Amino acid sequence: MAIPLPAELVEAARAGDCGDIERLLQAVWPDAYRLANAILGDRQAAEDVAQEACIILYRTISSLRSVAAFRVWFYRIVLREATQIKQRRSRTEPETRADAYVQDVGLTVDVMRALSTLPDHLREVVVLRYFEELSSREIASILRIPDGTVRFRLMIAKRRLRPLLHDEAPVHQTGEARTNAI
Amino acid sequence: MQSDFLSACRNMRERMEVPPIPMEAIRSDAQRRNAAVPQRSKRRALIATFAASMSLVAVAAAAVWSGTHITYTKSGSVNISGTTVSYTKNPTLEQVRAVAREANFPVVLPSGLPAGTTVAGVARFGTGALLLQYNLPGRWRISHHLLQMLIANRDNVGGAATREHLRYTIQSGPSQAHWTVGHEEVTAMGYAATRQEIANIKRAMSR
Repeated sequence: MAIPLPAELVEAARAGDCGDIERLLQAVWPDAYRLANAILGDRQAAEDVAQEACIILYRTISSLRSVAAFRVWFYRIVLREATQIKQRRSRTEPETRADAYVQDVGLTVDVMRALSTLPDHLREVVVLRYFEELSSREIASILRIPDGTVRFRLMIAKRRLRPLLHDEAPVHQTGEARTNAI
Repeated sequence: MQSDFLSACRNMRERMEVPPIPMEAIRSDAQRRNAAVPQRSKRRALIATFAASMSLVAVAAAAVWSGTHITYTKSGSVNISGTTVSYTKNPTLEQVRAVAREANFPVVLPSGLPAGTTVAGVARFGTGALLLQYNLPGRWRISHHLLQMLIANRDNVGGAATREHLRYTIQSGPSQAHWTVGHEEVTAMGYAATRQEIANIKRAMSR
C-alpha cells in the first residue's frame, strides 16, 4: 500500500519541531524499509537505505515545498539511496542473483526471485506498481520519466516475469524455496 | 498473471518483518551532519539549489562589497558578483513582487511568457539584481524546461567594479539574449525558450 499519511503529520514536521519530525519518521519507517527491501532484496541494505532516507528527511523536511509533494519526494529519496547503495556494493561485492536475496519468514520466494531477474529500471517500476500499488502516473512523477515509458517498462517486465510466475502458484508462508519455483 | 502477482506482492509486503527504527542513530547522525556543514558550504549549497546552469566561480572568506555587479563574458556567459544572495523556491506572485520592491531600481517583471509557464524560483542578489526561474510548458521540453531571466539594475552592469572583496561570483551558462527595458538589463539564460518566445517576452516587456 502506498504511504498514506495524515497531512497534519507532514505539516507539523515541516514546521521543524524535532518531536513532530520523529513522529513522522516512525510513520514512514516501515514503508521505507519495505520498499528498499523489495528493490534490493537484502535486509541489511534495506535497513541502511531506510535509515539514510530518514536522516535526509530529518535534515530537509522543512524545505519541502508542500505537504502534497511529500509522498513523491520521499519515494525519490528512498529509491535514490537504494541505487547508491547498490552501486557501492556492486563495486565491492559481485552480485550473485540466487544468493542476493535473504529469505525471510513470510517472504514469497517466487516473487523475490522473479524480481531479482529484472534489471534495475524494470524492477523499480514493478515494485512501485505492484508492491506500492501506485498508478503509472504517480510512478512517472517519482521516477521523472514519461507515463508512456512507465507503461512500456511494465509491459516488458510482465513479459519477462510471466514464465517465472505460475498463475495458480500458492503463496509461500515460510522461507523455504520450492524446488520447482522457476 | 496480473492479479495473482499483485496478491503475491501484497502478501509479501504484509508479511515482511520490519526492524525497529534506529531513532537515536538517525537523530544524532542528522544533528552531527547539520553541525558539520560550514557557512561557506551552506552558501554554496544555497547557490547550487537554484543555479542549475551556473557555477560558483569564487567565494571569498570575508567580504565587503558595494552592491551587486554584473558582467558579460566574451562567450556570452553572465558573471554575478555580490555579497548577499537569497532564494525562494516556488514563490507566490506576492513573494516575487516583494523581491522586486526591494530592488534599488524600478523593476519591470518579465511578461509575454508562454501560456502555462509557472515560476519555479526567485533569487535576489543584494538589491541590484534578481533572477527569476520559470518552468516552461510543453512535453517536448521535458529535460530543458527551465528559463532563467536575470533582471539587473543597468548601473550595476559592466565597467570596472569598485570593491574591497567579493563574497561570491556566479557564472551562468551561455545567455540567449539580453536587452534593456527602462532602467534594467534583462538577460535570458539557457536555450529552453525558443527565439520566438524570447522575442515575445521582449516585445511584451517593452510596451
